Amino acid sequence: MDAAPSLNRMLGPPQREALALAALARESAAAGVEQRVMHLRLSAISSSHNRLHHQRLLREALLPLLRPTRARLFDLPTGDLVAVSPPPGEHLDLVRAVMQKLLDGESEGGPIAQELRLPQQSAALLAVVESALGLAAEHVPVTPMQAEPVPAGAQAQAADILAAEAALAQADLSVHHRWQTICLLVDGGPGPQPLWREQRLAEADLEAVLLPRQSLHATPWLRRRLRARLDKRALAEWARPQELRSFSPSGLPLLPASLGEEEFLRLDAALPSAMRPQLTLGFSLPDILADPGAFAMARRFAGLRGYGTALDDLDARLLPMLTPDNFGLDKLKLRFSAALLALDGPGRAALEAALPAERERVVLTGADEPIAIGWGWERGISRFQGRVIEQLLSPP
Amino acid sequence: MQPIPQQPPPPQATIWATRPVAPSAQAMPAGEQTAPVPRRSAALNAALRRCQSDGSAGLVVAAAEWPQMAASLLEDVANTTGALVWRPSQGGFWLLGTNAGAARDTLALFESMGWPARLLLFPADLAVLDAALEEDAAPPAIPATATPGLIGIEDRAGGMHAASGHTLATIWRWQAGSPKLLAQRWMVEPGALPTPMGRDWAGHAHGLLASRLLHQAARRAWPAARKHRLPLLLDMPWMPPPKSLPSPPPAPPQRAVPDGCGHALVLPLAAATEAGAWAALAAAHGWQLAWAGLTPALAHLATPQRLPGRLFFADYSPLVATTVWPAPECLVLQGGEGRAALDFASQHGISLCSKVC
Repeated sequence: MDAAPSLNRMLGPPQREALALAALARESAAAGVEQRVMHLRLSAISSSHNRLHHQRLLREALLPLLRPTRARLFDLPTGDLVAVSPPPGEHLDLVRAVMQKLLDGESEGGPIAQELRLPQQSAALLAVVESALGLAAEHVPVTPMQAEPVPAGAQAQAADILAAEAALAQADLSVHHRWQTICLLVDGGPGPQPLWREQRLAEADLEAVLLPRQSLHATPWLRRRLRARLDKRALAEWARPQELRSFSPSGLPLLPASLGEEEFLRLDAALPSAMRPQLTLGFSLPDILADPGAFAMARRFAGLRGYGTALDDLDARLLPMLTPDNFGLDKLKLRFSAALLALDGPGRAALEAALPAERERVVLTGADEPIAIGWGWERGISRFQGRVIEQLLSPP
Repeated sequence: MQPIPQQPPPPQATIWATRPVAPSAQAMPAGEQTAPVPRRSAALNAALRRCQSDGSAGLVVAAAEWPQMAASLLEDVANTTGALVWRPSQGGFWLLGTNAGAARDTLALFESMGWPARLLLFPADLAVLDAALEEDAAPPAIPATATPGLIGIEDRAGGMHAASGHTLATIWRWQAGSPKLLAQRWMVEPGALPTPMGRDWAGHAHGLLASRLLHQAARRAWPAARKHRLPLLLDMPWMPPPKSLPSPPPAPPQRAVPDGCGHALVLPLAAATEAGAWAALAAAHGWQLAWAGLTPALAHLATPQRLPGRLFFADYSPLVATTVWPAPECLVLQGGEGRAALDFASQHGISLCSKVC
């Protein structure tokens, strides 16, 4: 019980400030909050100009610039200072100008004042903190491009995931977003009627970019970790005012634990209660089984707040694992595959017996060929998602 | 409780925002030095005044596992009833200054989420609030972040001594008034490879250690304390079914173990989406299957009719004891050696997994 306070007492103020700065960098990256950062490399000042009274003079030179602002100043164990300010932060430019003027040519290894931008360069800021804490030996490569070459297909390790997370902070994910529409398509009825749109990340493409030549196939826990980060990025974007203004019925597949994250709760707070039922949160069976406790909590919370819920992307062979109430989720999104066509009589009967009686709760996904629509209609399913639907919706 | 000033104190000018300015003790005349009064927000002071002056109510919630979610639910109540959510430095959440009806509704809501909460009815419960305020006034503890590094965790796991990171547990049940040994489980020692917070990192660490067990099994390096007359259960990592598996140790003599349980691989429940492939692979190499990580929410899976396996491991909790398990004879409870767990297990013919032989 007392271990944490004891440890805290052992940490000197500069160490604490370095940890606080690291926390700020992570929060900024997670929430997409923009900040300007000025790293004042006082430790790089040549020794003849780096005595205590020089540092005092420098701090006094900084005070008038920082006093009327919202800047936060962090003392690092190395003696460096880091100022963090929300944009525009013109005063940081003044700080840099003063520092350059005072110390022009007196630093080693680059300019005395280095500017960073959060969240884009949070990895670089974390590297500064790590270095200040003497953890530089455990250096995280900032981008996968800088990592040492690895043999193709090598199993990813924890360090690779940390590097990928750092790279994610700067990555533009919009090119990896895929939208599909879930439509009502009734046999003999009119054309497809859009019900909601679903955003999904092209995970395989993204993994190839973030972890080139590496595989997450044999390390599913690491893949989940990366997906949790992707969830946070997606949720931070969904919570932006411009996104909320244009909100329409939507679906979003998430890890159950992501509902406990600040990014989701920020979206939850921003979304008017009348709009929450129009957002369908999808949980996949592997994710539910990997963290049943988080799923139980997520399902209750989603129910309390009025969100729609779905069991996402279910392999039909796993239908027997379901409870009759579909784990308490509103919808069942069943993945179509050619194997379903090859089922024998008993197999077909077992599958149909396991389907929810209320067929309006079922969505057949992966409807990439017309035969999927026919298979669904034969079983009373009239909600579909897939390339066939996208083709029907696109103008001729 | 100290009277709350009617007006909030004027904000103190701070130059270094991360370092609150504290009055210098030397600057104060002798005899006037007092303990520093904690600075409270005007909103907290207003909520405390309501707790002192009228019959308002509140709630205190621990919710350590889902703090943001708990806070979000409380904020909603606070916004609709003019109350305040206070987050003291020692953790937890306090809903202060709401009405008794809203506090009771919120209590019911939190109980439905499985989060322990306590109803506060003021002024009767002012002493509870006083104690929390006093504790909050102590210097704030910065969360310890000296978590073990993740970089190189795979190498650290590989470099551990062969005998560390694992334990040999006993599966047993009460039978005719005495404990009966059923099997042994060669399992990953929880926390043997520390990681930062997070289920995925903990899962990865578990997987690394379980992989070592698999390698030892391939070398036929069975644990020294293994009882040859008992079936051996082997913890497995979450991974896709491999091409091959090591063979189990020689079969134990036929015993009255649950449904003829033999040597078994204990798979994490997350692997259940590939249960069919695992069952075929295990059977081909002479193993049965068992599953770890069952929870009350997924109790329906804990039966051989749903998942190919003989034994289903679940952590004991009071909720487990109120759950209807479809095949209690296949259930094995972990971490429940208290009286309640023993009674529940013996009453329903449930087995227990214990490190004590």
